Amino acid sequence: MIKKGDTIPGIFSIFIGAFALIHNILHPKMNIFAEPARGGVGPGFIPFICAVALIVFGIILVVRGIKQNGRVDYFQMTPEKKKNLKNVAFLAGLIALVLIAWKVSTIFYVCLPIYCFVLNKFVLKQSTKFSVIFTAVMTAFIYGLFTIAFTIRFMP
Amino acid sequence: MSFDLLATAFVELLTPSVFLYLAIGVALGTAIGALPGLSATMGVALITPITFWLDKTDGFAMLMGLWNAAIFAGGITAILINTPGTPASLTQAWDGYPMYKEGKGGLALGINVVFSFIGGIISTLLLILLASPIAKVTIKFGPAEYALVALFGMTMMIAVSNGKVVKGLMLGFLGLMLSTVGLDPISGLQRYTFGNMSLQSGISFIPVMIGISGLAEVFHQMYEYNKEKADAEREARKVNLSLGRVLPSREEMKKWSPRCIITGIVATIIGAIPAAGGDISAIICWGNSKRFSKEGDKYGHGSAEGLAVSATANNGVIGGAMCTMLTLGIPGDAVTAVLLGSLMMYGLTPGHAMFAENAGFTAQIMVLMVLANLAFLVIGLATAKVSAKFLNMSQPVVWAAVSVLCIVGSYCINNSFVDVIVMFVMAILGFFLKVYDFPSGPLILGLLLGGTVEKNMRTALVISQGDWSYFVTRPISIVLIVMIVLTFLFPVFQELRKKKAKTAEAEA
Repeated sequence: MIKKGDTIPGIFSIFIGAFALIHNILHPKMNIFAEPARGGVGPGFIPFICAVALIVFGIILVVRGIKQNGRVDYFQMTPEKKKNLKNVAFLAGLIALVLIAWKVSTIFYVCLPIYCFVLNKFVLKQSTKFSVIFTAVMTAFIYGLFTIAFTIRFMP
Repeated sequence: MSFDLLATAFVELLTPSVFLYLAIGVALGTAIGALPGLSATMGVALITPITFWLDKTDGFAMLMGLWNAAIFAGGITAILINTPGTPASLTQAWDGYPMYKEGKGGLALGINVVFSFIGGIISTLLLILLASPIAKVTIKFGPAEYALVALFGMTMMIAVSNGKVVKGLMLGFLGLMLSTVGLDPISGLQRYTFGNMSLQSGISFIPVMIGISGLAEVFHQMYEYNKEKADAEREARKVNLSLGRVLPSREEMKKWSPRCIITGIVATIIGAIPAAGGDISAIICWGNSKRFSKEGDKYGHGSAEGLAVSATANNGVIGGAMCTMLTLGIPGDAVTAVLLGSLMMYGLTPGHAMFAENAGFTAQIMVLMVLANLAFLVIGLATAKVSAKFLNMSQPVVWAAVSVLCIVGSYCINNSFVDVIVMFVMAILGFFLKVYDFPSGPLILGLLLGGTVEKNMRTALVISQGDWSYFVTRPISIVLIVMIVLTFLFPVFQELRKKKAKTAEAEA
């Protein structure tokens, strides 16, 4: 039940805070304090405050989540929302794949039309005709404005 | 700001390219404002990368046009489909939609354009009059004052938390932590870069903004999407109710103008308060106008006067928000946060320097705001009836276009693939923040102002040889510290007062 409320964001906050804190402690030069001539505070001062604050607020959220005991549910899953969440995951996965393909192939203008078509046809369930038109128009627009007019080469 | 400087700025702006980009900005802003689900912040964040490839003046012409037009156009959806395009248009829906149902849709759209223009112009005039004297005060600012002003801006993370103080503070500190990525401003030490050269200059603000307000919004809208409801709304929009005349009559203008001039002044003052955006301004102005108006009982049921007040208050905050941003470097709202990021990327520092070293450009920004208001008045009135057609665009088409622009736009700022990754990671984070009911404003404030706080705080400490009392021995610093403490304590007192009232109620 505790996974429904504020517990998971709280754990996430504690994790980030702890990671930053451990990084600070292990890094030989991320000192919290420095000699007065250097202002008395070192490069690790603000990150240390932030790390501690993230841990403290994370603990508060975890405790709140436990107290909520399932009464607050941010992910109320109706069948429609389940389907929507799958689409969101599909889109995020598609973007990740396109970014990897762009990085590996370095050819943006191959990745872009593939992204536009797959997004419209398979994620947003548009017709093939619409997907092809959207892909052509969007690719031409990006190429014309960014590559021709602004001479951007899209090299990863 | 002297008249000569403004006149020179005006003459310099009389070029075809400025007018072209201003018109493009206004057209885009009107479309963005009229499309449900797109906001002025998203529009400005998406267009900002393009403006870096233009001349500075052309780029700001486009941004000013887009911003001013998107705010007024938020009222179009409020009037025609009872869905505020922006949170600031909420009160416009209360009066505008009933007017539309009565067959006065055209007049409602006309009032929205004309009084948004009046609000925008009053606010810009006040910006021109007040910004320079405020900036003069900042001459006396040293690193301690700049650190405290930025810290004051950051305390607004409580105000923009919408009552979720713990969540807001948590995100504010996360933003502050993200601002420490890159080279340390004093020692030059690499922090959290993990050997990646691209992270040495820190995390760029604009990709974060594009991720959180652009792609994350697409993810969230897809998650919340209800096809049946969306189709029903689209069908409802196809029903063409009679729109009627667009322009208010001379008598109506005479009757509403004095009230709206006062509203414009009040809205500018509210806009100048960091984090108090158009929504707060519109609600305060509409509520007070209802209280003091002879036809207050009609407000909320199709009052043309109420709509005029809402439209004035909506655009009236822009000048105030710009005033705080240009003079103190504190963003008045989310859009000015993006504009502040743009100014910094152009190498411009808000404060006295903007009015001394870059006075010409600052004057151009102000004149551009006047021109943007004139442009949306003309385009808005000419397209008032046509703008309703935009509403029939389906959400999936908008999502597809926005997602492509997010990827391309985040790359274009620095020609950096890492920026695209940052945008994507922030979009995923932003999606979960929305689902878990976190306010994203504090994260943005922390990231934007964190660097300024740290750099100036540590510079002040180097000057004072590590003596913290340096911050409380200067008069301006003391005033700022009092303001920061009050900002922190206000929500606590408010909470205590609520609890007391509840206890008293329970006892009664």
